[in-house]
Amino acid sequence: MTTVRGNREQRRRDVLEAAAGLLEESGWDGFSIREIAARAGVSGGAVYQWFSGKNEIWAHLQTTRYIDDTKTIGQWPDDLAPIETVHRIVSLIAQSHADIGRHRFSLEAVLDGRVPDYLIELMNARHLLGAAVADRVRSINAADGEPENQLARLAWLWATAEGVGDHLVDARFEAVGVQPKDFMDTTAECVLAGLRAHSPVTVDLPAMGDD
Amino acid sequence: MVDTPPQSHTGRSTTSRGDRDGRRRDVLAAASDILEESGWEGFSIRAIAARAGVSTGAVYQWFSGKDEIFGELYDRQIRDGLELMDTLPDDLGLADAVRLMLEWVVDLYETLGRYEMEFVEESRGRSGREIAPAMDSTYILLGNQADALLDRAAAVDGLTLVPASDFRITWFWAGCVGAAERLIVSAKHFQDDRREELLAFSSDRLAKSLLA
Repeated sequence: MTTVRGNREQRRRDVLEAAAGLLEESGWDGFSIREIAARAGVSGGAVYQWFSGKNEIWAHLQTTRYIDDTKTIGQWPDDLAPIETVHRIVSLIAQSHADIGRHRFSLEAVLDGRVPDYLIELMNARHLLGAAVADRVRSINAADGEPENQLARLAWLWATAEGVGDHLVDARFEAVGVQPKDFMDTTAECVLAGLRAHSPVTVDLPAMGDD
Repeated sequence: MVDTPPQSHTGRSTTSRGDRDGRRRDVLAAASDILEESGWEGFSIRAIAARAGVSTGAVYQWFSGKDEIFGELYDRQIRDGLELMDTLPDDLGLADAVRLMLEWVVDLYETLGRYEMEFVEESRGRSGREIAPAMDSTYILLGNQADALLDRAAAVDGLTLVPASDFRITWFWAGCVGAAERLIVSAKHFQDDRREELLAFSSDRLAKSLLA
């Protein structure tokens, strides 16, 4: 690692980078301040100068990922075929969930109803990503002429894509011999069919991120 | 190793005290409670033993560790699912079949599911090597049963689904799991009628996502 003594901002970034690597390798259980500090080459005390604890570090990782993903969607061409749009959205949400989001249940258990500032930042970032995804989904359904259930459709897409993310990291996935690439192709087709379907039920949901 | 219970004592009490099987069941019930309250992080042999009112040594007489306890809870839930699919009427349509399976997944995830992934991940690196293959085969069996049920239910409605494959069933589980998590999280914020709407909407879209 390059020496970054004296550069606080750089060291803070090192901490977040170390945390991202650790979360990916060891999951939530191995995600400790001590380990993160060791990896980043700083003291545990230094980490606590920047972050209140591992929940806040996790939230920063998630917030950054939401912001990056929102930018990514903004760079997609406007004339993507619906199946390509769905494929990209599902892959994006699934991968983000597999890498970071799936640990949120642990966070919820710890937070116990409190809403610190870093969580508000996270919700805002999630809102913006939700809006970017909604834009893309709306263009698919505008072509099909279904005005109802916009938010419910979006919530369904999001929820099922997260389930796909859970399966991407499930070891049994390998056990049944499913290749992620082929799985995503089939999944995108199914999700598109589900998005385009007309339902007898109308659900009036609050906007993404309000729950 | 575990001794077999003494057979000479015919008038054995039906209470769990002194009854080895009963105490083993107590441990499983305690483990289930702990998981629901404290999650995988709080799921320790010490906590489970304390809740069941037995010593940790006693727990280790029955189980090799927390992986095996979780594995058994998991297995029980899966067997419930297999039984559910077995007992569904032959003339069940696709919408109802998907709805019932989603409800089962919600139930599974409310009790065990959120920790299932962490368990699978962790246990593979440890003692779970013996447990993992058993879980894999139950998982495959469950998938095959579900595939057959979906095709049968679609045929009842005169519908055709995308051909059965590992991809189709994996998407179906993934969709159910995602929808279930959403329903569970939402349940804290929404009224019951909203939960019902979401369940109906989610299962309707899941069913339609499978149409050829």
